[in-house]
Amino acid sequence: MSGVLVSIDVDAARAVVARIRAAVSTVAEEWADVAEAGRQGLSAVSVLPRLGAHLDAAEALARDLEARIDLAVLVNTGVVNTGAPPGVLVYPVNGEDTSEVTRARIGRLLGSRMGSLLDPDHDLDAHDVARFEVMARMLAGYRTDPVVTGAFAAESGRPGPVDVVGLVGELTARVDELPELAVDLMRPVDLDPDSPFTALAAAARTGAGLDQVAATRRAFANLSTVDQALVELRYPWLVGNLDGIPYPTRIAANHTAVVADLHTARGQRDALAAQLAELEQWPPARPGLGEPAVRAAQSVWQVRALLAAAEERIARNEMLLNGPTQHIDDVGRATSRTGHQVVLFDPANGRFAELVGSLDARTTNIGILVPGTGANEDTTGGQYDRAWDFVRRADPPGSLAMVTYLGGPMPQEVLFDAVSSRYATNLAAGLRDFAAGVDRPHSADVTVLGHSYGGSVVGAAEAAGMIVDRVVHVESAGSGPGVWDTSAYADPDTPRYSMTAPGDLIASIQGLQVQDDLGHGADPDLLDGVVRLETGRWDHEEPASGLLQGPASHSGVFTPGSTAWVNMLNVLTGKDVWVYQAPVTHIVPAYPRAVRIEEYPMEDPDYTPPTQAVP
Amino acid sequence: MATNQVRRLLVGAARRVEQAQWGVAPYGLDLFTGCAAALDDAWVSPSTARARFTEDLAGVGSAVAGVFCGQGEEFWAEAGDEPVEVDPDDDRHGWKADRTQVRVRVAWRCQNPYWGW
Repeated sequence: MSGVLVSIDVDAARAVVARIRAAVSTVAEEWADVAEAGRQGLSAVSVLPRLGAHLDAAEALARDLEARIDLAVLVNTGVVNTGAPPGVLVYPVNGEDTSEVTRARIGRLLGSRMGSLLDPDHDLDAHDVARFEVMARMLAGYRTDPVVTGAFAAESGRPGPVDVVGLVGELTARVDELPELAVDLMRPVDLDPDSPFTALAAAARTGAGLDQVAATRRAFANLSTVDQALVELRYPWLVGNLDGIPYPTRIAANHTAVVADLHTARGQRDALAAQLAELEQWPPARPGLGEPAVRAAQSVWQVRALLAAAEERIARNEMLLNGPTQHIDDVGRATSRTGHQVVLFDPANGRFAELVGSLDARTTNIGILVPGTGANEDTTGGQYDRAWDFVRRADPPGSLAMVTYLGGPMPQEVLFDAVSSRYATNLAAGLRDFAAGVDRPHSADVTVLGHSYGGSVVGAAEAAGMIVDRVVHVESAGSGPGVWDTSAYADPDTPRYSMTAPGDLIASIQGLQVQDDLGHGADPDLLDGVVRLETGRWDHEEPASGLLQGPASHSGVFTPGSTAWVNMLNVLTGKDVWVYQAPVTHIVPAYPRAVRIEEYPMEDPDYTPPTQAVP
Repeated sequence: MATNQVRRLLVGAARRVEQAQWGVAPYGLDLFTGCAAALDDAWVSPSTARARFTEDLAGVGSAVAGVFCGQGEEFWAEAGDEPVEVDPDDDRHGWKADRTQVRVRVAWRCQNPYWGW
């Protein structure tokens, strides 16, 4: 570029634009009153078209000045480094700098620079993404300006209507190949006070709570469609785990988060492997590493453990990015895609959630699956399979989407940890907000299903304010710490269901509570207002398949096709369920004392349990 | 004889224009008062382009003021053409004495797509 240098103080010039527009607005308001007064006196108010032309001319001048400012911003966003002092932006012009020339220049610059950043051969850093953000928003402002869009199309080689959201999506997709960029983008930064995302950041800062979820929804809805696309590209750390953000945005942002975490884990793996190789040399190759053999062996052991953990983290992240996931296609068939739909990714705090299936126009029901004791990031694959079993058998196809939810550390062993209520109380608020933040196309019903210890988490969340359409306790540890009746829940009238198979060892802790921190409140099977469901047989269609009972039933209830599993699916999809019938108890005289025998109705091959509609 | 409501309303409209002129440019100042001075600070160079811009802006400002002024004169002229009082029983102008009948005509014009306002 060459020519005369133009310098504009951007803030002062924007203030002038605002003053021009304010004056135009005042004129329009005053004129409306004048015209109305004239009409009341039956005057034809003949000068209206002339005034309109003058106001259009004023608006054109405001747009002209705005275009000059935009060009200056563009130049100083890194297109040309002019060395101008801060606050004063400089751009060069050639000859007659009419508004049209200025706007054509803007279009060409946007076409050239954005095209370059989208070029697969162009390496990107976070500053490039920041520049892209400015340019995308500017291009969106000129979307209906044929001078700018024409110049953009010619320069970028992208004919046709300008699709700014599509361009942002293209750049977001490039993050996959640029893991260092992903790491940079995941680093929280202070937002510029003029950023359109300040309301969103403010909502995020208000902390946990249903008000925060509502404020987040409002702040996101108030963004333009371009800004909604930009926020997932530019600030994935802000929106990936923020309840109230739509799932497509969370999924895209968490994709960047997983790419970044994978890159970090690979770096750690390489560093640990090098450290291990050095430690395994004996005597040490490096002078000064001559520690005693015992300490060296301990170090080797520790580094090996860290290396194994890094390898697991790498494998997990690679699976999330590249592993196949199942979906229901438009004609109701199961089809495979690449990559998981992660809606909560926070490995540092043991939090993870993913969408299984699709949220779309077909979705009428959404289930949230809360796992129990032993659940952690390594067991997410099992949770996925359980969720997919429900999704693929839902009728009509595509009507059910599931979300597997791990809100933080869960007890990892039964004997000592699982009776502690502290995990449930710690996770309650998180589940409450997560459930409130679920995307609900067409107000789909939300069912929260808590298995084992997860049942206590669900109960604690209800006591903390969670309100959903249905709740199911599956082989549940309890109704929630300190919960002895449904009045403790935010909505006592929520339809609730519970099932416990005969002989499941969980029954031994149901209904136990010792002080505040041991136990899980009332037995949900016995809680007033809870419908107890039949767990029945291993195969609900095969009377000879035997009763679902004993210790294996604790997880066996998730066997697809079992009576218990069909009951869960029917609650999730709002269909009829089979209701539990108590066994007949026989006391058989025996020595040294009488023997109690329970005869379950489902042992009779001809028995069909009563049904009840799910609201 | 009774007061001519149409004349009264046209005089009101003419005064509303004067009030509007004050609203958009108080003390008779330019519509875009202060913009030129602010641009001097904001738009450093080239000064010829800035001068052209401020001239255009001032031109629009005075044109807008001219529109208000012209409309005010038109209202005054229309009011001057109306008699101060009318005979309510006059077949042609009697309706002007009754505000309700004036409103009916206003409403009719508003609903008539072929009327030119």
